[in-house]
Amino acid sequence: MGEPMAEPGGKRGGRRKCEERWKLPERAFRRAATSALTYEVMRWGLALRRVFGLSRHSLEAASLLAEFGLGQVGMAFGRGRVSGLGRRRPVIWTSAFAPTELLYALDLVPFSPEIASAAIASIGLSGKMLNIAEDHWYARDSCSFHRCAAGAALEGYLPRPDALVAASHLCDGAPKLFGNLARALGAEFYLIDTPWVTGGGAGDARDTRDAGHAGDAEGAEDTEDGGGAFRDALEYYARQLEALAYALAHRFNRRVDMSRFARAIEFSNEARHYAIEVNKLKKRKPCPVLGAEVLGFVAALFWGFGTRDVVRIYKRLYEEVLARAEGRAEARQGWAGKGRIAQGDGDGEGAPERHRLLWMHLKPFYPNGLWRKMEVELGARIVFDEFSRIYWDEMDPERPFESLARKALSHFGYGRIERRIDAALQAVDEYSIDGVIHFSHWGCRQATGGVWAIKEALKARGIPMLVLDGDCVDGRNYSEGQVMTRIEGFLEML
Amino acid sequence: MIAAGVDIGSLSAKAVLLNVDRGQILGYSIMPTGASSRDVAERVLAEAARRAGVDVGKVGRVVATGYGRIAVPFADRKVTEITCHARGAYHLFPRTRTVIDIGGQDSKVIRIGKDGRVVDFVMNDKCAAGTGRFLEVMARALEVNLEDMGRLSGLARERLAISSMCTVFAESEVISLIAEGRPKEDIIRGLHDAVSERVAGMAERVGLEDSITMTGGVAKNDGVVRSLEERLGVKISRPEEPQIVGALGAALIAADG
Repeated sequence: MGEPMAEPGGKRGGRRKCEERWKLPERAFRRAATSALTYEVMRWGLALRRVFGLSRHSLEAASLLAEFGLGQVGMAFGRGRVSGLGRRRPVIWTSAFAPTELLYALDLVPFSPEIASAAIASIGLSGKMLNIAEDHWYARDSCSFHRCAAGAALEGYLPRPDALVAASHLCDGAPKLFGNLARALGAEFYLIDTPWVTGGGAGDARDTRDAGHAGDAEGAEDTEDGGGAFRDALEYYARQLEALAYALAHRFNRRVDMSRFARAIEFSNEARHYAIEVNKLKKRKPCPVLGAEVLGFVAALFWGFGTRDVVRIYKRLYEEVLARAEGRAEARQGWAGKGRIAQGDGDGEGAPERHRLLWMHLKPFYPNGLWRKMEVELGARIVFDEFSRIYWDEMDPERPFESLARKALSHFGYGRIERRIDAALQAVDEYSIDGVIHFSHWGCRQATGGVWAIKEALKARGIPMLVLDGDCVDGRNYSEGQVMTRIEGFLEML
Repeated sequence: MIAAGVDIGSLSAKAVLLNVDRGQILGYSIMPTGASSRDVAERVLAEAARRAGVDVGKVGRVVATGYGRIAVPFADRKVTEITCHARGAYHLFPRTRTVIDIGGQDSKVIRIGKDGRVVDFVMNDKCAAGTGRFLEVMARALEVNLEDMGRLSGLARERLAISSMCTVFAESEVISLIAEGRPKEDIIRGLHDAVSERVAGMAERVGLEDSITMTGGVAKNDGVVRSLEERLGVKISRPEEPQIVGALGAALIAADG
């Protein structure tokens, strides 16, 4: 099929430029990419730029987050010899929704191959890793977050794991991939099995709201039929977490120190608190922050909860967004109402807020001009995205395993589709949303399976929904012109 | 005042000139897009002006649409073909609630409300199945003229199924059918059924509502329209020149100011 002559969005050179930028000899590149020193140097570079006000991030919190990520990766590659005190710290690969609090409490280094895939895509290298995975029989219709990670892992681009932990929540593919990689890389694999509860409890999202109301887990226990089943599931999950903690402690010569667990939970609670406050600020009109500026914080959610760093990151984010919302002079003006927008590669006047959109699922991470064009040029702001939702209640530091189990089972994507629908409808109300875009990531069964039901529910409320088929990591089939036509057509419709 | 709509599609460029005061089409032109959207945009507008007998300089507002809309430097506004096709079809047939547009690279089903506004739409995914390009490739494989396909499929005796949706694989399926000695007419009908099956699926997604208007180059193919009508169990309206509906919609939007 012929490529369109011109691609609205204009950043057609983006990916190619990135590939050229990385045209280093293969061996030199590999050595650099797998050296802790590289990440430490990058982290220091970012930190220095931030301190001297030269950061390219429009939010300081985003820079802090990047520094945190680089620090973690550096630690994973250097096994603590660079960042830590020279003591070897085991690296544990975790899937999204595996409880990182538990790993931080055990002084282990979590590493998320799924986030690594997003990062690899963002520097324009996912095509290479995907090709490698496909050469190893990973089917092209499987999730590219996993396929890209598999390719990178098989080529030795990721830090070697000492163990892998996957939760069968929400994604069914992760345990299979992790199990497979554990075998290929000769590491131990731990599965956290998430039971499916069909009763009233886990299927009811009435109260899974940001503001920290009693979560549905609480409500569930009151209902007669669902309650018992939910309590059983909770206990089953909590016991698995406890067993996992002891197994990892035994395997890696750690002590299960309840005070460390309590501290990790407290950090998690604090970060949660600031994340909720940030979300409250997004309800303002106009929204004080661009969706493109904050979607990356999903990495903190999957990777950093349970650390002091992430508390600091979310606190800074809250302060910065608040400063913008209040129009304070010291606010870093990434975007200030109708004012300037400084997004990475260029400053310019942006369009005022014309539409308030809810984005469902993740966005493409490979270089593209999609969100910039939408939010800055067309004034269609991604006010809220599904993964920014803080869906769980404050946790009890005294009961870490039960709390973490409750957190996992509170997720709106767990259980019946009604939970996800209710979460979407609630976001529509709370954030004054006038249109919803569902990015149906290729190969993501859990997310795309319910699209029809979500669309129907939104239609009943008079909220239009655009279902965009695409891929978050695999940019090989991406055509910005085609995607933009759908988005622009949708915006014209609103 | 004269308003113009320019629709730069993947295969052909269209322009419509409209007398704003009388709401009357003054002239239009259609030509292959070729390798430069920018050049063809100027040429197609000049040709439409020549046919209308007006001076291009007299054209007031211009709205560009289609994939090449971004490359029309003289456009006052750029609007997607989704909105433009809906607007054009609604103008021609005010009772239209569903627009089926099959162009060179895209096929789409648009549902419109009573006031003519777009309510919902779906477009084909990144694949040429069910588009004009699909039929073009098959016409070449069968050594028939694209324009004759509609007529030839009317002569078909047997219902052949083309199961492959991928243009490349469907082409080899067609070649095997030719090798088996199947008549061209039957194969063409099978191809039309494959297109209509694909488009009917999209119509199902947005929810089909009467009455239905078909636009885009493929609407000129009686075989596809017949197959769609059979499959959907409805009558489909077609404008005299279905290819210019997008450009017409753009001209109407330009006329709005």
